[in-house]
Amino acid sequence: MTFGMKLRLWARNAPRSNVLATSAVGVAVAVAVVAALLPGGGDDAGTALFTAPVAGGDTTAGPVGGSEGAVDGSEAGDAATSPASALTPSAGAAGGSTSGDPAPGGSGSSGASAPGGAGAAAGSGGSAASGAPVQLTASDQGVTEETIKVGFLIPSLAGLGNVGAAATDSRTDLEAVIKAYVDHVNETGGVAGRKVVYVTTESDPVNASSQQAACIRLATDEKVFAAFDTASTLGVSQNCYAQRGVILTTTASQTNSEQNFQRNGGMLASSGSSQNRVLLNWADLALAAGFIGPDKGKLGILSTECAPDPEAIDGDFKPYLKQKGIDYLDVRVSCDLAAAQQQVAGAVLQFRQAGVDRVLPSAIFVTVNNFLQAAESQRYRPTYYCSDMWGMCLDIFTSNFPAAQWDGAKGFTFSHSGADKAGAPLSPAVQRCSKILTDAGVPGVTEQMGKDAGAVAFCDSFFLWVSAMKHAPPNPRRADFPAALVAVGDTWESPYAGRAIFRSGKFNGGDDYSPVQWSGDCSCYTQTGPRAAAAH
Amino acid sequence: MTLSPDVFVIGLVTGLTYAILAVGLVLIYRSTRVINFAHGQLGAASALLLAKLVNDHGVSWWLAFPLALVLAAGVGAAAEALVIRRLETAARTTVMIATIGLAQILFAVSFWSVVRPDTNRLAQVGYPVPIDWSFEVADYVVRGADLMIVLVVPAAAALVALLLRATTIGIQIRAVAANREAAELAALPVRRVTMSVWAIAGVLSAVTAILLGPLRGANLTEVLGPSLMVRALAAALVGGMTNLPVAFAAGIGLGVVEQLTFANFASGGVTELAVFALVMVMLVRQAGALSRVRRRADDDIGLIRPPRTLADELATRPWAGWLRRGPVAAAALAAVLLPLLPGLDTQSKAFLLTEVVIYCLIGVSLVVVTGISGQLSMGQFALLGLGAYLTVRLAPSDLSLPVLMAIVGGACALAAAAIGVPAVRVRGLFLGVTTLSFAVLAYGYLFNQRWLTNAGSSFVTLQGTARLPFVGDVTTNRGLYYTAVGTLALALAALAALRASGAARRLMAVRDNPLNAAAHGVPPAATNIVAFALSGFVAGVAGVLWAHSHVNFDANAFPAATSLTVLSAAVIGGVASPAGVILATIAVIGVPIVFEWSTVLVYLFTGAGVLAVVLALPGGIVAALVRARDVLAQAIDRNVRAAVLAEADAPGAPALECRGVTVRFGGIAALDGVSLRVEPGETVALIGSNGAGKTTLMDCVSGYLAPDAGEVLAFGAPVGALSPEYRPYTGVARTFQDARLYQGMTVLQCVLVALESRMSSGLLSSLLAAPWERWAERERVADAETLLRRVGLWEARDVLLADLSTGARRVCDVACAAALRPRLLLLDEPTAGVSHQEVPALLDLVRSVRSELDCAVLLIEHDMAVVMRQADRIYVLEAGSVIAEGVPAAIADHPAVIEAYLGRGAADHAPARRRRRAQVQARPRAGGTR
Repeated sequence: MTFGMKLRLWARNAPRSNVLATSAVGVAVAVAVVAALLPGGGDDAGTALFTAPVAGGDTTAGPVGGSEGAVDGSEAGDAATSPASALTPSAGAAGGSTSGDPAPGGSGSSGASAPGGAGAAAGSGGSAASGAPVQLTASDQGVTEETIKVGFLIPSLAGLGNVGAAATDSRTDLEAVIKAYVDHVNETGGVAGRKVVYVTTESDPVNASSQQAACIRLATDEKVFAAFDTASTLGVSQNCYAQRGVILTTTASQTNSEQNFQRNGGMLASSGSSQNRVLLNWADLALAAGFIGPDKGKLGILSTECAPDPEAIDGDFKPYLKQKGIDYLDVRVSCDLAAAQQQVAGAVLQFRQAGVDRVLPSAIFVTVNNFLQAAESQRYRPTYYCSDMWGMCLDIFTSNFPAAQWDGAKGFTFSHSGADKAGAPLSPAVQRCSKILTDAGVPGVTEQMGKDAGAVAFCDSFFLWVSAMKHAPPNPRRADFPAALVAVGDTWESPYAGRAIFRSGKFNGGDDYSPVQWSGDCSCYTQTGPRAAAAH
Repeated sequence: MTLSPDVFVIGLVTGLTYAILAVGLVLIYRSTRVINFAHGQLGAASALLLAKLVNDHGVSWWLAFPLALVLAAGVGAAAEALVIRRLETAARTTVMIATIGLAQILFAVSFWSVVRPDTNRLAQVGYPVPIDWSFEVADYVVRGADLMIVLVVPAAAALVALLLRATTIGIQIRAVAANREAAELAALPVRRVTMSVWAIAGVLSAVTAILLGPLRGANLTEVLGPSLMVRALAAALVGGMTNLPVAFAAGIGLGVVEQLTFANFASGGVTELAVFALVMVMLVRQAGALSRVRRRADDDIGLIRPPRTLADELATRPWAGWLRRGPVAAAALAAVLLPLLPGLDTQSKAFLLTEVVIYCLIGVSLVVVTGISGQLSMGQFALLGLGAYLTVRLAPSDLSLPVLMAIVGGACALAAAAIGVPAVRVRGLFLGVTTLSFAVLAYGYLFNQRWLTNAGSSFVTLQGTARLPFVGDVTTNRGLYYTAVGTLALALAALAALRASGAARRLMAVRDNPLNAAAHGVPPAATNIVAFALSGFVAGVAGVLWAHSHVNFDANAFPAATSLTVLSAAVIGGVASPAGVILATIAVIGVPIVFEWSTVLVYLFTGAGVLAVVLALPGGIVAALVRARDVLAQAIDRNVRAAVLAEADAPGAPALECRGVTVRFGGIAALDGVSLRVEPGETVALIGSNGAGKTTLMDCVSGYLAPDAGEVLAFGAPVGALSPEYRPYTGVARTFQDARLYQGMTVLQCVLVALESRMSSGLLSSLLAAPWERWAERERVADAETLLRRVGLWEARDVLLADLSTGARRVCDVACAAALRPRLLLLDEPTAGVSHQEVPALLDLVRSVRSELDCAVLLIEHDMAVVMRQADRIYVLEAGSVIAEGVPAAIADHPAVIEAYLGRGAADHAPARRRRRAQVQARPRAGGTR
């Protein structure tokens, strides 16, 4: 019996109610199918799963082209693949950006320009081109004649959203914070002569799939030009953006390696420092401060198997220590928390037996805490040092550490950790962030590294991009960003990390460090001196 | 090499924690034959409560301690009463999975503020300990916390041993452990005893957690991650899951070896490797003890029942095929449409959907190794991880996806086979421990090895995209999703083929009875390893897709706990059923992934979901599906079959029954209240003069005319309203007076047309010359050949019907009718136009068809000689009414018939025997004078 025969048979003989109900469902399914098949938001155009990292711009090139052109359509597809985008000329003049009310961290080098007008800022090593008005075009993904679309990654710890934020004593009004920043930029000229439009998405810092999905959502579904993060996308997941040809600026630089920053060719940028540079700079600063040295005691490194730590520790840090004649012992515990707990007592014993009298923990705070407790029970009290590895110089990860062990721990951080407790005023850049917020009716920043860290970090990652884009052509492409970032040079004053210098092949900052010391009285860090320049 | 005494002391302290955990596991196992994954969590809340009472409320430790133990005993007893008791008859694997769900819920409870201490204070002042003095052994300071472990753990273990040996409850526990049924017959309070065991286990768990508190601090609730569970389980297994002292000693030994390794290599990864090696060695060395357990079938993961098939009487219904294929087709359609639906039509959702499909593939791999082969694998996700890393390694070779899958799958098959080697000696739950050990090893060691990752850490990036032959690069997440769906479909098809094969029978034979299987020439060891290899292959293929989906990943993507989650989903689904496993995977893992639920909520959801399904649906989701299918099938059967199609073999139902059938053409009644019956297997002739209504009645029976009044029932079901094309499906076939058939077609083609009713051709599949269509065509031709040879027309198979003699056409007509395999054959004047010489052969053919098909025949025939020879009974129609009915002899003698139709000579054709019987039976019909 054919299907049609069966259908007729059923239609004729089944109870009317069954026929009517099934027909209704059938019609609904058909409508849904038709609706689904109609062109919608899910088209595959320009949705490459994996595109080669966009090469950094030639930072020594002369003037970036100055001709005009237009891309047909309101928004170009993937610049890497779209023939239209390949034909899009870059312009010699940077699009308008703000100058009257400088952005946080603004270098002050950008020229005043009206939106859409020819700017005076130097391009990536180029010169300002003709003063003739440049016709704005949909030069790349996320760019139209009038707007440039960006994305913000809001941390959602364990997928709990604001509940998670509140649990960690962080701000829960990041949407309002972001809106204030974006509105400020738009009110003062926009970016590249265009109004910034934005989308936000949540990303779970402890869930790699969530981070990958957020990346695809912004880079491919929303087709943003750039994305900004605080600390929701960590380590390996950060690479996703550059692989999809989208710029990511983040403050969670120390979760990734220098090699990855290089591989991503400047599409991944940060005011902070990569793991490798964190460790090398720490070694230099610690040497200078006399914490370590050939004639000092043995340094113990408590490290983990967690990626990409071994890459930085084995590849750069230990050879550098060796080169400097520093005696060290690296004890590496498992990345698995439960297994690591079984190993910390052994680590204490090994340090003690090897004569280690100073320890640099480079592990997740849970493991370090267990180590400290084991050390305390063993009456092993070395001198502790902190670095930006695993946020060991931040209060948020160390406030629960046993004071008997951690009291007096010293270290160096590229962040503003300890500044508040030292009574230091907010840095000028952070003050500007705060003013933007208060002007918009959003609570301002009162702590640089405490509960307001998220607001400061977004200010950093967003305005780093805004500053760099002043050096991009008026019809910018994402591929222009690395060169534009390099053009920022040493003029960027980071709200999050102090000084950040960008140059060819160097796409993360953290170029000056504060000395900090932890006190058991407040279970917190205090800055103990002026920021010092880093060598690496 | 460091062998200092302090390392041994740390090892002793560490090992004692494993030992006390092992004692708890053994205790539960001895009484309920369950590996209790919730053991650590039974007492975690109590341990936290103790810290809260002492640190936050200033309660004395000595008062808080008994309170905590009472709470732990209550938690243990409640777990037994609410969960374990209800699963008495369930498979042990199911109960074990239930304990995983229980652990998840208890873990969530431990964050409840009622029991949770102020973590800041806890971190500052530490976990409370009652003893505050210390001494040194070499360089190691033995402090109060250590001393507590050293003193309390052996004491607790000794107490448990004493309890079991010297107390009434202990003897009862041992009795129940030895033989539950016998204990019940001896009127022992088995349930109370079991509850007591769980209460004791709760106390032991709390003691463990309280002892570990000073070492773990705020992270107390994570005390039993998979890595610790592996160590405790290994110690328990060394004791054969029954021997407390041996398990205790093994725990200590494991701790010492672990600390010695760590002291000498300063690497957590190497330590994991050493632990894994030790676990494997201990398990293999203890295989003898475990085999004793095996003989008690304690390690069985339960009788794995395949999903019940549809009952035979329903399976033969015409719609049964759709009931089987419908859900598959719906699932396929859903898989295709899902990423196009609003809300899911983005590339990010496609990525998440791909992840779900990959989890489903892992589920399929579990069906192979656990569902078919009966080997418990707790490390499938680690195999996926291995596949992902190998994919990255092979990426520079620029291999196409199928080739990559073949190579990576093959490598993972080898790895899985190696993991399955212990299956030669141990099986079931014990084998699960070795696979869990592998999962822990992979996460902690294997994925950090440069020879595997070709990188300085476990972080890798896949270079390149998936490339499919004839398709090209898969450049979108949606494309990758469809690739994953296609791979899953292929895996399911292969699994279906495997299940229908002798290979699967061998696997199942070894699963159910390895000794017997060996006696039948099936090597148990090799067969088990093959099962592991097959599942490893599927997991490796899933790893290829994972690598292409995630592109960047590190070891953190493959935690050992995920393997347990996947196994939980498989058990929830019904591990023998791919459909059940996939549905459960989607429900338990997939939905939270796609809708990006909070991981905390997922934890709660998974735990509660596991318990709900295990308690409410012991057979898993597939059992509920089977139940729903049966209900649906019964409903369809009632609504469709009874209302429409013939009731096959309904007791006592006649092959044909006409009740008061009336057909009017304008004002003329062609049939006027005709009633007749044809019994199954009977030949009934319908005779009457021209215009009597014979063919009209046959048209009613065969659906060409709808009666104006009255009923036509075929095999008990009313068919009067059905049009003719449905008749073949009610078991009714008919020939026509003119036997025209299809004049422009050959004999063979005519028969093939009739065969379409049994094996219909699909239009699309015919257009595409699908392999199954070509196969069906071969089957049809073979059937037609058989039929045509049977009726003697094979030689004329290529002759057009128009070129055949009338007799040959009638034979062909009968052949076509026979092709329908009717149970009621309607023959309308079969001898009309046939030469006198051909009639006997035709009648022989009709007789043989009737005989072979065991069908009833309703025959319209004018040749009274034929009627008298063929018919068992005769109805005589005249002017639209039955005027007589009876056996031929009676009809021949019937006065009304003689008068109206036959003439006197007809009676002479009836045999004498029939005539005598007819004299008794024949009677005039009501209205027969009309």
